[in-house]
Amino acid sequence: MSRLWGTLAELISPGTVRHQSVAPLEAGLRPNSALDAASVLLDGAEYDDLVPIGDDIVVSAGTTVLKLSAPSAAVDLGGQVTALASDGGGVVAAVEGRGIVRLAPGGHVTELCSISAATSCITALARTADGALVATRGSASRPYDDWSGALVRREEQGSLLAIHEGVARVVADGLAWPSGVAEAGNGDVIVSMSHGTSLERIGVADGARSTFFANLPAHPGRIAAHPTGWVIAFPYVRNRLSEMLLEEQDFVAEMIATIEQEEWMVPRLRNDNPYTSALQLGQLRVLGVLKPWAPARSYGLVAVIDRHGRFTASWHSRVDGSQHGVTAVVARDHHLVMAVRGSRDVITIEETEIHDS
Amino acid sequence: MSTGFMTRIGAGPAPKDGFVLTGKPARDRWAPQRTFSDALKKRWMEGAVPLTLAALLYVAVIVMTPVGMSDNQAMLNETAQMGLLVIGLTFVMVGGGIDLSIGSIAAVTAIGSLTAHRAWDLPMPLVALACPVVGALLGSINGILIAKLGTRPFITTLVTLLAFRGIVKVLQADFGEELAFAKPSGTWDFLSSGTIVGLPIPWFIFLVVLVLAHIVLTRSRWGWWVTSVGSDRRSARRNSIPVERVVLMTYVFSGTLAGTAGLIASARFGRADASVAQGWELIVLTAVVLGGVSLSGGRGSVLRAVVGILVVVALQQASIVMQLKNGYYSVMLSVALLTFALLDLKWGKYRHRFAEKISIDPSGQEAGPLIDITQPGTVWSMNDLLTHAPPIGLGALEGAEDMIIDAEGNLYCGDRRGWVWKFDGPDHEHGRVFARTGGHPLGLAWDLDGNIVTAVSGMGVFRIYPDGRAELLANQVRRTKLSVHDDSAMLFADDLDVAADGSIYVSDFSARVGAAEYPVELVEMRANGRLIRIAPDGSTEVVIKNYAFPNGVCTSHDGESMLIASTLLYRVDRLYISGPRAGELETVLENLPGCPDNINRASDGTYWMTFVAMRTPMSDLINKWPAIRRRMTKELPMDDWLLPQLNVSCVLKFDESGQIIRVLWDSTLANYPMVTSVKEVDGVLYLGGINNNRLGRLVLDPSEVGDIDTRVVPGAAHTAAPMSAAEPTEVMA
Repeated sequence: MSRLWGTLAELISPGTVRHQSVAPLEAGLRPNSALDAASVLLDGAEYDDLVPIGDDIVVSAGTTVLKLSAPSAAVDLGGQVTALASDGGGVVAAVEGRGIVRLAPGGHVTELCSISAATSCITALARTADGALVATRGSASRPYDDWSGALVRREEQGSLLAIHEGVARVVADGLAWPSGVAEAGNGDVIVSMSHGTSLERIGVADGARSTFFANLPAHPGRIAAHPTGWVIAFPYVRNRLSEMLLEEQDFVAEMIATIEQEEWMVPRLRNDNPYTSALQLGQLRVLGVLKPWAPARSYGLVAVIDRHGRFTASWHSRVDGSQHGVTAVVARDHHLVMAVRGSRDVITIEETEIHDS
Repeated sequence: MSTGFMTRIGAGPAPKDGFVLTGKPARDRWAPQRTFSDALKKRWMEGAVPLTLAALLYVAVIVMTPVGMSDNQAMLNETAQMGLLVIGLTFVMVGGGIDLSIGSIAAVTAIGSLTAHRAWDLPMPLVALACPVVGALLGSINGILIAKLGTRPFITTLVTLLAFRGIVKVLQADFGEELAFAKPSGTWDFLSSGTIVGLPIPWFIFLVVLVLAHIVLTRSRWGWWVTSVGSDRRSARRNSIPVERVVLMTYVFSGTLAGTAGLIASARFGRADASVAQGWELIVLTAVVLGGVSLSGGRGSVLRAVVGILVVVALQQASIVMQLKNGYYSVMLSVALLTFALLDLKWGKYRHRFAEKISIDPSGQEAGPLIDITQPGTVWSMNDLLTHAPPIGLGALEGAEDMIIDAEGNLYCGDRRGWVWKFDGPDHEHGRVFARTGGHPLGLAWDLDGNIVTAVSGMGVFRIYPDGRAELLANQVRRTKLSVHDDSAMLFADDLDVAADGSIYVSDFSARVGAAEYPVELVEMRANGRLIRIAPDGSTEVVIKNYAFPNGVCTSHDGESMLIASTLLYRVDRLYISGPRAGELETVLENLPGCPDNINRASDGTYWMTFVAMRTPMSDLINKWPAIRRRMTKELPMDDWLLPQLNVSCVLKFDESGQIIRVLWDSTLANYPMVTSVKEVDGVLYLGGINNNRLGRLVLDPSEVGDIDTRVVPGAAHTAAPMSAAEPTEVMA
């Protein structure tokens, strides 16, 4: 009946009817193809997170951690490495199924925190100004790679943890798959809510939350410091169709029950087999050309946001591009270095379009 | 054959029903929402809703108040008198204006006629004839001000309303005493109580004027001019319609009828006070708007406006019978006027948009289990056999769905710009536009005389002669009886083939949408297409109706049947056209992993077919959920719609028994992102794609090439070699 009323209301006054939509990529997030022109530093593995250590950069790939300067000397940590943070001259790594470990410069591995909350789905690690270690946990019940499983079920079981002397304190929980964290001054951290498509400030001491940026056009991921604010990697871009479908609960239940997870109509890091994925009409190749503006299932996006919450620069790989699924980024010497898990690369690009705020 | 605009319709037997192939429940035959949308789009719907509501209001008044049969006489008298004003105002409003002075004009002739008769002693028949003339003169004052001097209709007629009322007051003041005494006259008596053919004079005048006015407004040139001026003044002027004269005449016409109404009012009541006919403009305006005449001009009918006055009169009678105070009637009228004015605004503005919104009415479809083409070691396993086929016409062609090759090896293919190309054999390096058809030429075949016949999306079926002349063969079929939607046009001729007797079988993919909107069919999942036969004499008949997206059509190797691919149902069926089983349908392939497109004969006695799209788990799932697809079409732009994977190139070969023999792919999508048709000639497989910028030329392994010439129509007594006819065959007109 309400549908009928809705239809009639739409007839009498179309302007009053509201449908949900997705924010467009505009202003500082205006699309370009800059990522496709980036230089490739490493390729061939699912590089996921990276962290600067001295003059070098440490990268995680699968179960291993390696240095950009010596990629062949990889250290296997015995589980999927899901997040990295600096630790003096060494690194701290979150290892799925094992916990948070410290990897000394010499290669010696010690356990930092092995309580159950720290052994699964740690999506990002960061150091606060006073040197404390904070971590985001995407979900209390799902492994690190089950991002879409939590998305389709609309679960909000993520948390922000402060880790000190082997103990993980829950700073905030009930978060929508937090997947990035960075120091924000005044005892706060900035946390990216991947499923909530927002950025929040959270006080590490008291867990006080406030929205920093809501209704992003993409799902934010890891955050790194930047001279003007922060630089954010967006592994996934939002899709109007998938968000509409996810509102239909019975349909989603059947999708979960009958279709393999890789084929779900949700954003993803890359498209390996176009023959088995459904198409959105804009993706039709006409005269051999795939339109860059086609609805995106996978996309490459990195953006700088200043301290006032304004996007000042962004680097994209559009639908026709190849650098999709950027999972981590660091800013160094007017360059950005990115781990692109979707296209299995580590790439770098010179920052040319940053405007000081 | 017709050389004119429309082609011949044959009187064939009743078509077979293809709906059974869908396996859906019978209720899916009907799409009620879509039928409603079809009806909404009809021109006659523009007044339908206001009129229906007005009729309901009328019934409500009759049922809910003590108004009954005894009031009929009074109501009809009132209707006859006010009806004249309503007709006049309808003309003015359809012409884009408004006339508020009609009540005052009626008052001038009402008082004026009494004055002329009682005070000035003028002969009554002359007075009676002068009334319409005086009305016309007063109306022409409005008309000249508005049409010639360009004043606003509303303010102008508001001013003349006051001015004409002033004349009435002057007359009443000067001749008040003489007016008070009635004076017998045969003319007055005749006007008030006389009859013609059993009808009271006012009724008779009203009916005659009504019929004439309706004919004039709907059937005469001047009536059309009025409508066009009202709907768009600027276009009317650019079409050299004398806008000023037309506008002037509407006011003169309205004034004439008002003058006549005044005379009739005097004859009925003989009222001689200055407030006669006061407030009539509101009553009449309400009636006109209730009758669905648009306040913004260009739309309206006198018949509907008269229904409006019936409602208003019923309201009036109800207020009299119920002994309500006079004020209540005005309030009721105002509320009705406001409501219907609002409705007119919204209905007129949003009707088409609303109809468009609900025009897609998806139906659910469960497909069989999906074959996994990614599994290695099956006939379906992916490969790159098509990837490196060298291109033909790269950079020149746009959207060559199909192609054919003549006896000398020259290649002909369509183009989305409405052309047919010719590439010179045997290397096909040089091409030129050979014929122009308009639309988008899709399937191509050789007829028995060696000419090309082609299915042209958006146009129909064309024959192309060796000199490049294109002739329209067929573009319409018999319209389905009792169908709201007009399905007579061949909107989307897709593929065709020629049978042994020379008749052409054409798939008309959809009787509802054109080529640009084909995704609608992929979302709606209804049996909207049909298979059409064009007889050798050029007449058309629907062979299979309610066919879900028939696409490829191919005459079988023995010439006794046609193979037809259904893109939406993932199946291929065989229709016997001769022999003992003529008219029967038989399944050849079903539950394919993709959406089949064109079928063509292979040289070894098998068939080539292509997939225009691959089924995917998600698209199969959403096909089971029509409500979600409906929401998708309403809330998302077409570019966001979820469809089967259309970026595919898949060619397969199957035999008469429906066995898949071989599948060729281009998994990279680099060169042939979509293959929609293949033809095998002289050991070469040509690849066409409706969205590609090239054709492909794949040399086949000699081991799989047979000795059948695929250009020859199977089973035909004799066929001319393709493009051999020196002169175009003369066909009967």
